[in-house]
Amino acid sequence: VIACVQAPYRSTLVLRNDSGALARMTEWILGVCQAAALGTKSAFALQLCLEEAVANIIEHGEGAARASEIVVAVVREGDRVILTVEDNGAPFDPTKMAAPLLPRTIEEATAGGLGIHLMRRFASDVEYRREGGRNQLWLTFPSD
Amino acid sequence: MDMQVEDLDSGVTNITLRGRLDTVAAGDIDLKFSTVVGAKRAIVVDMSGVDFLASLGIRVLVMGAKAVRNKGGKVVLLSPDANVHSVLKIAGIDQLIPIVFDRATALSIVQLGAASP
Repeated sequence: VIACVQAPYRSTLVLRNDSGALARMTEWILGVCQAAALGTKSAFALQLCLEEAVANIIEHGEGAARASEIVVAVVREGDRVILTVEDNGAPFDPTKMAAPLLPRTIEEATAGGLGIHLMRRFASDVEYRREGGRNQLWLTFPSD
Repeated sequence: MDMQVEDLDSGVTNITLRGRLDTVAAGDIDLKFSTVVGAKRAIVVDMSGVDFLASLGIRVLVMGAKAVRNKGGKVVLLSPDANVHSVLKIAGIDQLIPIVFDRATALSIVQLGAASP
């Protein structure tokens, strides 16, 4: 009997919070999606949530509150994919943010506020922990 | 991210976007996109070649459409792929900017929108 068990896939990237961080992250996640053999839909959801989470960390925090390091990791285990995003900035729990009021007309539209809304909708689960002086965001996706 | 602008004989401006409209690309095209839409009243944004869209990319599209609307013009998004369309819907953009999947409909919406007071 030959058991067909897919080995878990794991990849980690440590980012310095500088102007090239998002470009390095994009190059990494495109490689991860390919190496983990993710389907189009889950690869897109994973990339979107990663982009929003990291852009949010880079955009927020000044001085000592600013994260100097962001560690992102993707694990694929069977039929689910887990993304973790960890940073050493000031405590910030995006899961506590109120859902945005989406504008009803183009005149009402304002810039921003969508990133966390998109993360909540594209991940099947979003959890936050503060451990060892670091923000940890755990996002789960079904894999296709 | 590649952005091509073409003025059609009908008075409509066609903007073709290709590639990832992510945070970095949004920063790269923001000025060019807002400059083009700031000078036009009837705009079709061909999204069929866009394979990724993040919130700052949405911001570029929405702020552009808002500037055009303020001048009495109209923007339409044409043929986003399934994933990009789902981002636009979840962000509620389909309630703000028409999203259509055939060029003839896109042209008629922007021509009508730009002609009305």
